[in-house]
Amino acid sequence: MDTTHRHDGSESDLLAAVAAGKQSAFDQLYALYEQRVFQYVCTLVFNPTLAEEIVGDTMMAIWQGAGTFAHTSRVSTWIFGIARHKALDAMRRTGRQQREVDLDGIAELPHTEESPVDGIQRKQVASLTQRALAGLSREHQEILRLVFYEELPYEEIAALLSIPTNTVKTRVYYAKQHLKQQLERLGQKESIR
Amino acid sequence: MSDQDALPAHVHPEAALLPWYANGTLNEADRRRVDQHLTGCSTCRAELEDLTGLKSALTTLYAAQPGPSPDTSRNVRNSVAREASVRQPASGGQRSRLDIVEEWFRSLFVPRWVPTLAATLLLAQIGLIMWISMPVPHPEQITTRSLGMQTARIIVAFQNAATDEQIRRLLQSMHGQITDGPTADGHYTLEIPAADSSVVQRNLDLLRGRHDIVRSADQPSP
Repeated sequence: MDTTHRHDGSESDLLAAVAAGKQSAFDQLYALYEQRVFQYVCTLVFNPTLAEEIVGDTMMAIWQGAGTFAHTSRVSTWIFGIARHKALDAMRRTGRQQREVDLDGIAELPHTEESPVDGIQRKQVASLTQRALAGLSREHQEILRLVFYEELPYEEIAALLSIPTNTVKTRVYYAKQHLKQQLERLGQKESIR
Repeated sequence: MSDQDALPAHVHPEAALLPWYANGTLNEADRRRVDQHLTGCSTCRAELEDLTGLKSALTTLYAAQPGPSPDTSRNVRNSVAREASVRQPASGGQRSRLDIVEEWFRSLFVPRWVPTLAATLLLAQIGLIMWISMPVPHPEQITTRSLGMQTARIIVAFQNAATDEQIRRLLQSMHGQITDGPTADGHYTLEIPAADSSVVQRNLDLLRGRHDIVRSADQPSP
């Protein structure tokens, strides 16, 4: 099975090099995680400026605490754990401000060899999916990202979110059901226009 | 949170494992169980196809989303470079461990260390006398602050849903303050005034009784 991100031996080696104070290893790890941690934190705090601060804090915690990684989970789970706790801290400070995700900020997708019609269709599908995701709760957005993009095992997601494994499984099931409903609703709206 | 704890009755238990079958992280036993189930269940095969499509769509979407501004990267790299320069020896050159040991060994024969050693021994003697003459503290997990107040440390983790206000009030009620954390697994070090072990235990009980705010509270392992 193809994986979206490389796992884990190489990342453990990188982290060990970071613990030994190698800046080049930190730069590599930073490049691997900067975008992923930022996006993950954005699903929690809904505030890009605050998310950038949290990314900075998380990365510094990795640099300073790489030696404390206990090898009981994937490196990615450890990093997202730090980011999550920093985000929860920030949310406590700022009073859990919730807002609708900015639907205007839909990202430009990477260019590939495809016809203009395919490109437009792909952008429409991505746009629709993003809008459907925005209609989900924070918990459902978070768990879909952890399963389908970060490809974490359910046991590690349970540890990361401090919830039972059974709750992880049912949460993914209902998140997917809600996403499907949102997509159907938006699809109907699109066809009316 | 409105999650239901159980799947609808018509959903096969194996269907709950399909997201991890699709992301390739199921353990061997679970994977075999799902494999066996899929051979005889067209509903779950269709669900797996659906999930594979969803994974592909989400991967494309997330991969295309932007990262933080270049300022974030610049700030972090600058901070790391500053810390790295402090960690490395001031001479900056690539010295081997052998060089460092040799340098230390040679320094033993430089007579400048004699007055330093004498002064250190004198201070150590004074310190020892003062320490011996002090009253013996209670043999529990009590530490002494520079203010002279006896304090104890408790390792605490908060519920995700706990608000800043709830935590602040709880800590104020025991005159405690967070002095470290969070760790990667969400633990904080809480320092509380504690004249003896019964006060520590009372505060531990208080923390453990607030399930709505506190996930765990323990004394640090010795």
